[in-house]
Amino acid sequence: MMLHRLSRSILFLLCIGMLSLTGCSKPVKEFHETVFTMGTLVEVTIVGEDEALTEQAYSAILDDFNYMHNTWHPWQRNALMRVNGLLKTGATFSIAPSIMPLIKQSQILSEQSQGLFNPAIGQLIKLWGFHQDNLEEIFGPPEDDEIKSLLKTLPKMNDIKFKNLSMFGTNEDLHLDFGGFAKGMAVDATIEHLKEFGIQNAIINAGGDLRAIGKHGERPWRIGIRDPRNEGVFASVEISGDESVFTSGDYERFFTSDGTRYHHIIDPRTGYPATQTRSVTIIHGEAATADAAATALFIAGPEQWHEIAQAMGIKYVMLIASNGDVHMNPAMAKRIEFTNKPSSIKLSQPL
Amino acid sequence: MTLQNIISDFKLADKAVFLFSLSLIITSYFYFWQSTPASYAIIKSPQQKSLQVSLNENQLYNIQGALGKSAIEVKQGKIRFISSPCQNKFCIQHGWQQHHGNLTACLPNRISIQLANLNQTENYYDAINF
Repeated sequence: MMLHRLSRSILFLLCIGMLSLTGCSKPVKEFHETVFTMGTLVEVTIVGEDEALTEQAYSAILDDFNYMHNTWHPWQRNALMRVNGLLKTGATFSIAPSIMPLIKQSQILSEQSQGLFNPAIGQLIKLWGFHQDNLEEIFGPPEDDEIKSLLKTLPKMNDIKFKNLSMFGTNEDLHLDFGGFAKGMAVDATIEHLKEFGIQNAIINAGGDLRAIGKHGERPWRIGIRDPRNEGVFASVEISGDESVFTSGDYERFFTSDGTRYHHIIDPRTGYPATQTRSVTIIHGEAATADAAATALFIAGPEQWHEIAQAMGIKYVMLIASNGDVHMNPAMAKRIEFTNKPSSIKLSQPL
Repeated sequence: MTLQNIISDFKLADKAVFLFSLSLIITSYFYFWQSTPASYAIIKSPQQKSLQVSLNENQLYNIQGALGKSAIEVKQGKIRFISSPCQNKFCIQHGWQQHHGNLTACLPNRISIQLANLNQTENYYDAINF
């Protein structure tokens, strides 16, 4: 009898022990490189692949990043500047192939987000000074009159029209600034390029926003999500297959003037930084969509995020409101593991 | 049968097995899951060649970046930015870094610090989302 109980005890404890150690596996060959491009720090991680192939693929995507940075920067002499210049005139001009994917996808996402994701408000972004890499040159917020003046003729993505192989603008205040969305597009493009090389397991992390394919050896990728108010990791998720994790936060880019902090996520409805949210984390297949959704849901805030997420086809959302409440849909709640459980978690209806 | 009844039924051998298994699990947890201290850091800047510095030697480094010089301090196995010509000083607020896989940077000045351990190829997080 005692032996029987002893056996059960051993079995029970061994099961617990085995469960607690799942995920431990032997180290795998890992390539890890960090580079400044697209105005941010891009980390490339490739696991378990041939060294020569990895180097070749890495070199190719560096070229991709540099090309996209040079082509898509909204305030440099490049293809986007030419398009912006011509859109203001209202004249019909031949479409720009290097900019078309950005415009087409942005139009769809902007429509789905009810205009909360709006890359056409480049003039407003410039008025605030967030168009520049270095925020040291911003000395304060713009005048309210200037903001209101731009809002009167608020440009929208559908102010860009297409006619056969030509395009034209219908709003002279329209100025495309794809901001972070260009980063999402670049991550998608470079992940696809890695796949073409035969790379199966990789992460491209562009300034904290990433897309991962495959897994790390025998386990899923482990992604830590930064705490929006304190140092360290707030929560983590495991991903495998092909998924992007994007976060928009009020801590990423901001300036302080007369004791007030102004961050870079501008609400197109008010012309001012959105105030209801600290951060939004999205898990989605495509990085570009995740990027646009993170911006739109940040602006939507705790009251409207669910409606916008549904319209954009997003299935996993975590929003941290300005009062610290954590809002999630049930599917996200199943995937998120908190470092320290938040005091208030508000579960929404399923998406 | 309550948990209290089960525990009171435990014989000496049961308790021995329980304690042994528990200590094995706790030891394994710390062995496999805890953060590993970094032994060195790689400091990168577009203005100069990458620098690999040991975290075992206390030293101050002045690194030329895109805007000017950033001062980086190494002390007792840790590393941090102590000054930088950026506005928001996120890099300084980020504080001491000491674990394998940690990454800190001064984006305006384009200087990054990646920590690693010579004997370690695994890291708890594969990437940090922010």
